[in-house]
Amino acid sequence: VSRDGGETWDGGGATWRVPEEQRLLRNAGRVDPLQVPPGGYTALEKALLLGADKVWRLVRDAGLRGRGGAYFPVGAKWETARNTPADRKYLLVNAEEGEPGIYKDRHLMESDPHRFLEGIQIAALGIGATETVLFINGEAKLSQQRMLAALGGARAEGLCPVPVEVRLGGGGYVLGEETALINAIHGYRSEPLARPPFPAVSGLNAQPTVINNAETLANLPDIVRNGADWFRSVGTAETPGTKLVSLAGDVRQPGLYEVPLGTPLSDILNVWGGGVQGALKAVLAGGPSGSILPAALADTSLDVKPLQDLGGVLGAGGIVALNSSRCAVEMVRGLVAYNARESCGKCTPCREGTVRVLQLFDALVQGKAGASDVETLDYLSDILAYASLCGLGQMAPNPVRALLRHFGEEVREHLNGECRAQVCHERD
Amino acid sequence: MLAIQEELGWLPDWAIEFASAHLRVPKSEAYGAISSYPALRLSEPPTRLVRICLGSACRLAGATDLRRQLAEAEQVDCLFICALAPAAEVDGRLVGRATLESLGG
Repeated sequence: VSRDGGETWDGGGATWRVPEEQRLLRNAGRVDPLQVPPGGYTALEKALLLGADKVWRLVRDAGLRGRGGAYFPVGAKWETARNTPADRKYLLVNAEEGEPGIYKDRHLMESDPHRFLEGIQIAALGIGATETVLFINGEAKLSQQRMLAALGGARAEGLCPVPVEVRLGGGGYVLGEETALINAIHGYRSEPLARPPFPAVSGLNAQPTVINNAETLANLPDIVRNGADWFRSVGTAETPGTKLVSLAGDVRQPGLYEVPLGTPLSDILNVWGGGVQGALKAVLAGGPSGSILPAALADTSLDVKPLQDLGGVLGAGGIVALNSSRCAVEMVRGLVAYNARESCGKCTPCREGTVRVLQLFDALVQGKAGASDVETLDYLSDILAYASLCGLGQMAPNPVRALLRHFGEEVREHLNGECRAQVCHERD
Repeated sequence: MLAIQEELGWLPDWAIEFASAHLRVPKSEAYGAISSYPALRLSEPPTRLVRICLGSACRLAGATDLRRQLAEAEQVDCLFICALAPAAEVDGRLVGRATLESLGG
């Protein structure tokens, strides 16, 4: 159980406990992160016995999807790189984690680095990678220390057959985009490139490169150990397995939780989060590229398709609960401002569009916006989604669209200079 | 660049010039790369650097007021300890459940 919340929660005599099923976090807080845990690297041994082809088939059959936010099937991504002939192939592990509100990869690296490292080695085997690059956020000092220590330990015991190079990043949301991440490693500005060629064909040093999220790879040791059917026993048919959820906002016990995919959002708030403080008004799901859902839709399940149908994304698993004292418009303005700051400026729709959307939101919270501004917001959202080069711009309008769709009434009130939560209009 | 910043606390012009000569790239290219990463600083930090997180969770916990009261503090998009909101950082040390007192304001 993640104890990020620190203090214990007094539920008024009610017993509160996190449901048992734990896979990724099973060792977190229970093993010494500086030692190779008992039973560690047995999955790697098994994987080496199985051979590259069987490992890849196992991962494909398990239906593992990328946990970085796009949920692309891992097996298919590996296949492309496997089928591209090259002398050198890279596995690039994205542990940059630049999305605000997400701290799952840090938690994995800090509490159970050897599981993660074992996953990296299994993946390198399954892909046929000759080199591995692990990209960590430059400001995540503890993650760096723990990973370097774990690497040293694993190397000393000969548990690191494929070389791993650690690279530090300078932050930025756009690094979630694969090609921007490659640019960052090459030492350029973190700007995305037009695709194709896809990184799996030509990526790092123009060689086939598979980019996987840290959480994705942390799933691998258990899949190899227990098989594809075991992995599919939790989660939904389309998206099996568990997801690390960074829960925050107006819940009694915020923190990092491991939740089976397909769990209703309301269960996450009430069972894992210990209940909402005050009356639930809305749920922010998926961070700055995600959506804002009203309380009436809180039964939506944590899965790719159901959230997509509501105009949202599951993203990296950030969930923020809002109670009735919060203003939906003001919260979305915060996400819009972040997207505008983080836009790398390479393509015009995103560079200009995100700033213009922010200006319109500023007018909204100051009570200076008119009805035509809401139409402009709608129009701008379409342009951003269609014309942007990468995911940052394409998904930047998600929270705006969700706001207009689910909180239209509240937006109209703001046009008249009213804010039911009494948060807006007083600000400078 | 991260290594230089670790040493000097920020990236002054002379250090960028030196590093670009070492890497054999134009100064403009080095500057361009630096300016695209939020973690790299192009201005000298104050002697005591307070950064307040203004991520969603921290704003809900009152980080905006905290920022208004501490004029010298900088804002940061996320300090990744959202469960301990509002979060802040004083000279590289994280402070959870930050208050005006705990930040020495």
